[in-house]
Amino acid sequence: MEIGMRDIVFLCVALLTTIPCLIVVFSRNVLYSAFALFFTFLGTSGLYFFLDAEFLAITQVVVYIGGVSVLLLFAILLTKNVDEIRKTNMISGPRMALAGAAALALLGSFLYALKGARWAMNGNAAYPATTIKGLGDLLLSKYLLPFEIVSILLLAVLVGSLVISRRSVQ
Amino acid sequence: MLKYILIPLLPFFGFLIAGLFGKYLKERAATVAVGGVLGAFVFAVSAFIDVANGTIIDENFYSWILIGNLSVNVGFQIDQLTAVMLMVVTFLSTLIHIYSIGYMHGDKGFSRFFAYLELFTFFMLVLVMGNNFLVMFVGWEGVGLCSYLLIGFWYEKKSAADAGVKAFVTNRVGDFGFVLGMMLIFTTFGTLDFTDVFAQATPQLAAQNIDLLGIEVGIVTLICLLLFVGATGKSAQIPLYVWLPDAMEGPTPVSALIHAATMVTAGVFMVARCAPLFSLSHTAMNVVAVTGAVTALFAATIGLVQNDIKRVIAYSTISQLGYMFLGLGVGAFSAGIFHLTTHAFFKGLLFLASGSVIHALSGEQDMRKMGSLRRKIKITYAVFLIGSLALAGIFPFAGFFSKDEILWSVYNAGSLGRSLWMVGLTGAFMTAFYSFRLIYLTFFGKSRMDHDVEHHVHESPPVMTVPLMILAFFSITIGFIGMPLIPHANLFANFLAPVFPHVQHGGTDHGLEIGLMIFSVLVAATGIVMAYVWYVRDTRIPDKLAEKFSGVYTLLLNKYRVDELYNYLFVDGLVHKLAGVLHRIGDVKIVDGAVNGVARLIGQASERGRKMQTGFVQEYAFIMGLGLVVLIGMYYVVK
Amino acid sequence: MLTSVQEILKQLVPIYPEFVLIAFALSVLVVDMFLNGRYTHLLGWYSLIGIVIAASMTIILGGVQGAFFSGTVLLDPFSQFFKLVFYLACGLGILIAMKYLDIEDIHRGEYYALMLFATAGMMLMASAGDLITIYLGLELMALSIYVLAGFMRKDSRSNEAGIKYLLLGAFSSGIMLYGMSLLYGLAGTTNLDGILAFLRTADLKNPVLFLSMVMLMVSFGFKVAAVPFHMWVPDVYEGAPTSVTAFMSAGPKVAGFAVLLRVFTHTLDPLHADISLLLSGLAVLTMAVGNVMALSQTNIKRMLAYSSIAHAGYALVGVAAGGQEGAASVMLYVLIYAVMNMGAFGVVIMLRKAGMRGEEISDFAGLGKTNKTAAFLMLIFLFSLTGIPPMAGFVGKFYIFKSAVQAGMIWLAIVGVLFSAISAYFYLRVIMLMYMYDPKEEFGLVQSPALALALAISVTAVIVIGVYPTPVLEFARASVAGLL
Repeated sequence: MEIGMRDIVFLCVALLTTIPCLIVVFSRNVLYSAFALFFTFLGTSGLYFFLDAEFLAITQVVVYIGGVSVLLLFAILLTKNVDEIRKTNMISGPRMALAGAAALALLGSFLYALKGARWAMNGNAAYPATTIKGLGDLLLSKYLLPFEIVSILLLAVLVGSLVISRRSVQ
Repeated sequence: MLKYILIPLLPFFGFLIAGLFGKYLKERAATVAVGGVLGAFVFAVSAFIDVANGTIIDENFYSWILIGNLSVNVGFQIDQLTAVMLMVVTFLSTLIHIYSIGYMHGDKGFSRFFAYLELFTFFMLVLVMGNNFLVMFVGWEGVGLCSYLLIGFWYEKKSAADAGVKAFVTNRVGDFGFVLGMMLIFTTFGTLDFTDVFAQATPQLAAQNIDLLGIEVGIVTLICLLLFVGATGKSAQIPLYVWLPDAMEGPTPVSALIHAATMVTAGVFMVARCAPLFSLSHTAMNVVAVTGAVTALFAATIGLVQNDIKRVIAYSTISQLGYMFLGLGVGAFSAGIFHLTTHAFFKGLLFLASGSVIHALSGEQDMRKMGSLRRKIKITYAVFLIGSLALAGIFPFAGFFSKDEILWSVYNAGSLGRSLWMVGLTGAFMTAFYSFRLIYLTFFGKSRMDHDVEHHVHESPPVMTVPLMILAFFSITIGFIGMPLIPHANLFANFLAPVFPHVQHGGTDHGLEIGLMIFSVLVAATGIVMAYVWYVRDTRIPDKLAEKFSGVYTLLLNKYRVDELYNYLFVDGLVHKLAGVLHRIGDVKIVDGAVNGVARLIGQASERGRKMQTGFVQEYAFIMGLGLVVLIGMYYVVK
Repeated sequence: MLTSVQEILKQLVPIYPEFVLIAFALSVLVVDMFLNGRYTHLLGWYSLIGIVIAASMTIILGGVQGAFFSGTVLLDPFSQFFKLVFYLACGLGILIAMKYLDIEDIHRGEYYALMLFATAGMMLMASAGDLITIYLGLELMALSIYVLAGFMRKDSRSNEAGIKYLLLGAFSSGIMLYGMSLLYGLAGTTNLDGILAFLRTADLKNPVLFLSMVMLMVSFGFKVAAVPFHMWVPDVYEGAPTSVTAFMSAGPKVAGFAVLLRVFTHTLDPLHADISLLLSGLAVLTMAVGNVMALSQTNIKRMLAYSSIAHAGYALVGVAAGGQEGAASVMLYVLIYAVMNMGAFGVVIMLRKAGMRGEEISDFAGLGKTNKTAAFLMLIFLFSLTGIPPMAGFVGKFYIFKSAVQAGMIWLAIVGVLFSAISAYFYLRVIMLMYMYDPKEEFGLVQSPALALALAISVTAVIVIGVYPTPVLEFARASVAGLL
């Protein structure tokens, strides 16, 4: 099997996604986790590039790296007693082994299932749109209703966050 | 049609009025209630006359559940069997209602009590009148429910509440069998209507087998056995009889209602109703007969040593129900129902009379603290004696006719029948013994009463004694409607003949029949004499024997420790262990951990953010993930 | 200009009911601002008006059928049936909440707005014709419920409930999205009909297909609280405000069944054999764990939580049985379940007073003496939950088990009957306490016209459906038509 440039880059991107991911989970310092998450987002964005979803990749960078991660860091830094959080993020030995075994089993079954699966997406025919214009068209035509539901969803989330964040009832 | 619907509806209205307006009606609630059952009785008589004139009523009221090919109607059927049951239920219920006016006088739950009694009667009437299994099941569940409410009526007593629960839970086990039987009937016959089911019950069907965990079982046999499980629950047969003795915790009129007219007769009635099915399966019939015979003997042995006056009668009920099933099991269906009828009268009498005794003794139920009451409460004594003679099966009291008809049929039922006959006869001996042990301990000998109690002994008011006298009258006379020997004199059997399949003759050897009758009366008389010698003449004998055979005595006194066994097996064993196991494997942190977690949280609200991140959520997620893995693993099983 | 507005309005007709609910939710928020914390209960009644309007629109739209908005939304009797159940659940949920929110001192307009948002989400789930709509509807519902569960800001249990539900809900959403993406990858479409068309010709032994099916099963199982995806239920039900618990046990769970039915008996129908096998396994587990664990509970909300798990198990029996009858039996069952469970929670809420939590089962001691009506209502609801005729619960169970028997799954029906017999014990314990014990202390119950109305509606429904189920039964059977 020929290993081309593309494969090497893909490998790098994949590692960029997964290794920080592990750090997110296993780090005992929530701040490290947050930083690691930043790289995971970046890696994911790279994966989107490989899938020819350039718009999605850019959005990923803008929204998740530019917005979500920064917000997360702010939230952590504004929280009192961040140091204490560290102590709780512990997993006992046997439990870890069990979880690991389950995760491996899951991974194994996924790999088994996905190996040699025939997807409908051979070629680009089924890709509805990759450009911003195409996506915009789709969102306002075929997926108009889901698009609107998303806005309602965001509204509900807004109301919800209001409820949670308000100090107390008068 | 309207008057037939009114039979169950009148008690129901009585229930509504007494229940809803009890607060305002106070003791007048009783009038309403008695009016309800009395009305039902009047209409029942009218229905009985109609049936006797040849009108069989089978009408659907409205369609209850209609799902595709299954149609279940709310419909009533009044044939000969139902007519007999209606008479028994409404008549006894009326008398018990009247009696209760005196008995419950002054109780703070007076109107509530009558509301429950009405509801009980209503469900029993629904049970006997239903024209399909599902309507019968409504009544079936309903009487279970009411028994639970009524047994636990005096909830201040912890034992009463426990007894109520026991009755309900045991009955649920029986109901489980009944429901399964119903399910199988539906899959086999495609309908739940009695008429359609029985019309399809042919010998060809009986030959069909189904595979049950590798064992070939006849469909009909399986159906009958499942239904019989239901019957053992309601009619207190081995192994589900345990609730009945405890049911004594309720007020005495309730015991009378449960034992005489409603509830316990439901199982017998159901088996009789399904006679066309049962008669197709030898296995099922034999199981019914053997269970009945064993229960009859088993309960009688326990009855020998009990000291609580109501408990003795309770065990005698279990024993007598055993006889009824014995009769049904050998195909003498009408004899079984006949015994049900006579038993209803004398058992109702015995219970109400024992209530009168308890009433006289300010609530004392222990026979060791009674004695020499016969002069103080004469009427009660007289009726009690009549009831006991009927129970013992002495000619010409009611019990004699019905019990002998059963025993005669059993005797003629082949080799198994002969051995069951022996069992039945032994039981009859014991019955005579313990029922007169009760009489002698209560009414004869020296007084062993507390001084205070003795001082207050008084005869019950007429509102209680009149029903007793009526019942006593019937306990003497009702047997004559089922006269043996003389051709066509067995009115009862003739009346019921159209309902039951013709399985077996009583035999035609009149000489032998008379001989056996005399023999069984002699056996009963021996029991009475023996009781007299032991409990009046030489009262030391029982104690000596108890000492000598202390093992057996304790075993009997503790009712063979079956309660303890059930408790150990099911309550401690199954339920608690199972819950314990679940706690351990999956939920140890949920039940205990989370509760502790909550407790900690409340104390440390400021550290909320930290405590949110307890390990528990991770664990929940982990188990979800594990579930996913297992489900994916199922791929290898299904493909 | 005018004509184009008319045109737009015309095109919106199929989603008018959702539209109305969202409009009411928004206006509740606005009005709440002006009310400034006073007369908040008026907002409750106002929301109820919205529900009634939406319900009447759904009924008027009864004749309209078909796929709208490029197939993302379906109008069919199936979705209409479920929508009516949601209106009922939401309406009852609001009625029983009004007084309760005052007592808990959390009476705020946002509560009603979130209820309406959640209901709109559930309605979108029921009428979804596309995986995307299912997902969005589900998230709209779930996000609102997360917040509602944690609505008692001062109560740490409520906070815990909210956050637990959120975390696990996100986990299950992740699994669902993975499953959906796999399905999309195979079929090349997210449209449910399109997927069905694909499956009719596809290789059903494909492990990826199985994988995606299982993942959907896990996430929907999470929503309906099937074992082993039920772990959140007791904690969340216990911690959430009781009115929210009541709503959660009826609304989102029923919505979960709507999606479960839509996806598993319609879209994935070619996989029926596998689905049936897996679901019957889940059903047995669910009934077992729910009923057995309920035996040892001391908190009424926790007990009802396990009871709701058990009831999900019975309904799963119907889904496993599949086919017209199976689906119809599930629909009837969830309707009956929603009503009787809301009723039971309505009585539980009556016990909550200032200074008394009223959530322990022992708090019910002597209720039969102190408040006969409340005790009697509870008796009816508990009997119905047990499945004792002639209450509605019996009819529901009867139909479920009957359809299982008819589908040849007699063993499953037997297991169901067995566990249903066990369930009598823990329901009975409450009745025993109410009628056979003396009250621990004198206490009056909370009463309000709204609560009384809710209880009246549910008790009437329980008895009427129990005694004369034909109309509802026929309605459920007719409503399956859109599904298969």
